[in-house]
Formats: sequence, structure tokens, C-alpha cells
Amino acid sequence: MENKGHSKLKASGQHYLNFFITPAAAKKIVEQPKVLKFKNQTSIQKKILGEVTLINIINDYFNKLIKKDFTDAQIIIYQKGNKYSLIYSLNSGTSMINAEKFNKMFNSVKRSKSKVFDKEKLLSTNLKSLGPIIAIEFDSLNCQLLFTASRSEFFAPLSGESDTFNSLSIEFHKNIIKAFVLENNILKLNIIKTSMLTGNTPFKIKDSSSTLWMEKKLGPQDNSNPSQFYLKENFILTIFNISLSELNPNLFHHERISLLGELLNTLRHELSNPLFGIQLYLSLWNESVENIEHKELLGHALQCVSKCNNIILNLDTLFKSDSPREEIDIKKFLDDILTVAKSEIRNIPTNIIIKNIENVAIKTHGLSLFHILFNFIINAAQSIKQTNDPTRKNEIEISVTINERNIKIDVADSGLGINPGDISKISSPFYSTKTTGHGIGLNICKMLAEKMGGSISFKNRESEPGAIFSLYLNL
Amino acid sequence: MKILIIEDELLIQKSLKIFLEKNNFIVIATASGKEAIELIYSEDFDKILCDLMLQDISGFDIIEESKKKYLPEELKKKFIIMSAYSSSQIMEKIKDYGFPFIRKPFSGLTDVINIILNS
Repeated sequence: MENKGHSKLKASGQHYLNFFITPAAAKKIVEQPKVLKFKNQTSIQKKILGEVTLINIINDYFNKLIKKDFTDAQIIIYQKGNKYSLIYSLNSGTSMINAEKFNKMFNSVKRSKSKVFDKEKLLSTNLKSLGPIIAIEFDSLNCQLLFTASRSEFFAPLSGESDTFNSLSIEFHKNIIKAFVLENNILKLNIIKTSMLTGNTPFKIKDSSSTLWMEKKLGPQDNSNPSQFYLKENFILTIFNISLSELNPNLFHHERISLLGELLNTLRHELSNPLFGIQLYLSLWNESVENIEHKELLGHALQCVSKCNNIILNLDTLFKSDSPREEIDIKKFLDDILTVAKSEIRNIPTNIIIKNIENVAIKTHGLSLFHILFNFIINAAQSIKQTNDPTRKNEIEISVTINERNIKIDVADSGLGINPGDISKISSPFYSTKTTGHGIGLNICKMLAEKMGGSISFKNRESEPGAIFSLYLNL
Repeated sequence: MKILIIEDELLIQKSLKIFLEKNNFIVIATASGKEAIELIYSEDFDKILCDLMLQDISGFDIIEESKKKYLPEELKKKFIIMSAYSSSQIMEKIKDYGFPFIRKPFSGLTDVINIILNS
């Protein structure tokens, strides 16, 4: 096993950022909280923006305005979807205003033809320009920007002065957005990283006005021993009860799961629109078709689309612990899994046998169950593939045993079995003997099973080659 | 009744067009926000079915541009928003404008007609 979690995160569709942390580094952070500075952020910035940071760009812009005799200026940046926008001010540093206020200001600038404002009319007390101010707005995919400037005079700026301001703002706005989005992504990344680092530790992230941005509660909260860290942009992270025992390999799963959650969300948005197009076209066609056979097939196709839609809609709930428990008919459920799994393993000649399935319904988290069994089946098929022996029977046998208290689902394969030396490693994070796969291994299955109140186990078969992976769930 | 469909997923756009034409609406469709604005300026539509996430500009930009031609009250009766995104902020914004909203994906095509006729 490689001792690091190395991941790629697509942050807001903008840049790919790399980060990794070794268990030793994580341990150091917990022992010496002061090193929680996320050292690699500057190097990421340098890679994309050269030596330039957002503050550098803004200062450069302000300096150019000062040379043109402006005495005050503000840049207000609002990243769409956020609750707050940030104000960078020439004379009074940075501050925040809420999104609603920003929207009002932005829209009044957008609607104005002269772009000259009386400061009191346009702005609330948050902006400290004196006299008439000029403004310009920019709207990009991710951000809205307002630039304002004034000369602390009681006369409105002349048109030539406005032109200077406008052309400077136009020149700078793209780089400001670029740097802002990048730095924000790094901030987000840091929050995710922090949540990863703390593993099973409850924590809160608040901003300087005590608004709660992120909280992780684990059962009844014991708020003793809080440790506070200052993150970028005045965010304060409070971690409770931090202890070294929590630095177990599990923390990598939190990282992987939050990354996966983000990826799945992107995927969901990318898939749902074309699927909806297919659905609309099929239903349209379905109305006009008269041939019974075609109508039946179209109905079937529509059902498939809606199945896909359901999977997509539920993708992210897989990674939330509060996903609803539902009544699941095991036999039907296994059929569904096999439909999906068979297409995934179509290149591996396998024979899947289902044994002893009674009609039993259990109440549990369907997607977690789906995920675990799907992984078992894929693993079994890949193990068979590794034997590379066409004379073997290549069988995957699925069986269900029910007793009073619990249900056991076994997935047995005729593959190579587990190498005794690997048994202790097999459910470790990132342990894999495969070059392809889902990237989330047995350890995730184990975690999901525990979340469902069950467990998983695995062993080699006694009388023949191959392994058995079992899932136990309470009835 | 003349309808403008602004939708950049062509399969959705064309299917809606065929469906509405079958139901005796006159339909013009476009995938481009900028073209939509030109169409709104140059022609008169009874209803505008507008997606929010387009390739070039956003549905909200189209609405803002349409204010040059229509009064807010008229606007309210023209636009119907279709979107797969229904974050609270977007919903809030749509509510402020007072537009009917269709969340994608939707299952009943006839519901679309009801919304067009009743809004």
C-alpha cells in the first residue's frame, strides 16, 4: 500500500488541483496545529498565475487609479451561489456584504446609463467613498464584479475620467476574476482537506461574523477541548476533542468520498439534460406510433430512461449518511444489480448463478446496498479474469441466507482467491491488485456496511479455488 | 399562439417544438441566448419558454434584455422558466420576477401546455 492519498479535484469546473497528504504529515498537523497552513497553495497559484496573487492584481489596479487622481476605490466580488460577497477597498481593507445587498447594487449599476451615482443612493453604509462615485459592472460565468471609484469631490467625474476608470477596469477584471476563483477554489479545497484530516472529529467552520459555514456533528456533541485555527479569508475552524487515535486510515475515505461526491454532482448535471432530451423524444414518438411491438419497446426504452434518471438523481445520496431507508425486495434488487454489473463485466466470460433466494424484503439504504453488492460482483469477475484460464468454470455464485436476526449475502467466485499475505491489506484504503476499477474499494464497502448497521467479511473457499465475500445485515 | 423556445439541448428543444406544433402552436426555437434576444426584439411572442443555463449567456440575461421591450407586468406573462437547477437562490430570483417554473426533467408533456395556457 502506498502511504499517501493523492487526488485530483475538479473545483467548480475551472482548474484541476492536486494535493496529497501523508499519514505522517497528518499526524504532525494534529500534534502541532500551527503547521495547518496548507503549504502547497502558493505553488498551485504560481503554476497558474505566475507570481501574481489576487491582492497583487488588486493593488496594481488601485495604484493605477491613484495615479489618475482617484482617491478611493472598491472592488466588490460576488461568486455566484455564495451567501456573501467580498469588498476590497483602497482605503479600508477587506470586508463582506451579503449577497442580497450586492445584488441590489449590481442591478442598479447595470440599469444605469450614466454609471454615476450618489454614494448614499447606491450604497449602504458598507462602501466608504465620498462624493459622487462612478461604477462599472462585469458579469462572468462564475462571478459578478462591481468596480467603484471616486475623488472625494463634490463634482461628478468628467467623461474623460470615467473613460480612464472604465478602460482600467475592463483591463483588470478578467485577471481579478481568475485569481479570485482560483483562490476561492483553494479555500474550498482547504475546507475539504480539513474535514478529511479530522476524520471522525466533530468540527465547525465559521466566518468572522460567526456565520456557520460547515459543521460536522457526530452524535451528542461534547464541546470540550476546542482547538481553533484561522483559515484564509478570516474563516475560523474549531475542532473538538482532537486525538491521535482518530488518525486511522479511515480519514482517507472522507477525502475520497467528498471528492467523489463532487465528481458525481458534476456528472449528474452533465447526464441529466441529454437523458431528459431522450425521454421527451421517446414519449413524443410513443404517442404517434401504432405498431404494438414498437410501442411496447418504446415503453421499455422510457422505463430504462427513468431508471437511469433515478440512479443519477440518487448518485449523491449514496454519499450522505442521512439517505432514506427504503423497503427492498432482495430478489428484484439483485436482478437490477446484475443488469448493471453484467454490462460492466461483459468482456469477462462469467456465469452468474443465483442460489437460495427467497422473497425477502428488508428496510435499508438501497444505494449503499447496491454499491456493496455491485463491488463484490465486479471484484469477483476481475478475480476470475486474473486466473486467465479458460478451462476453469468461471462462476460467480450469489446466495442469500436468512435467519431470525440477520441476512447474509455471499458472493463467491472461482478466481484466484485471496493471497494469504494480502488478507490483512485487502480492505485497506488504496490497496488494489488491479489497474482499473472504480477506485473505491472494499474499505468503502466496509464503511457503507457499517453505516447500514451491518458488516462485511471475506475468506477463501474451503473446497475449491476462489474467495467468498459476505455482507451481513440486520433484519 | 406564438411561442419562442430557448433551449440549448437540441433533443429537448426539437422534441418540445414538434410536440407544441402538433398542438397547434406556432413555434420558433433557438439554442443561442443572443439570437433569442434578437428574436424577442424583432418579433412578438405570446410565450417564451426559457432555459436558464445556455452556452453563451444565461436565461436571466435574456430576461433583463427583454425589459427594454416589455414592462415588468408584460414580462411576467411572457416568460416560463425551464431549468434543471433549482437552488434556493435561483428559485428566489424566479419568484421575484414572478415567472412560472418548470423543473427539468418533467414527465407530463401535456402539463407544459397547461402551464402555457394558464400562465
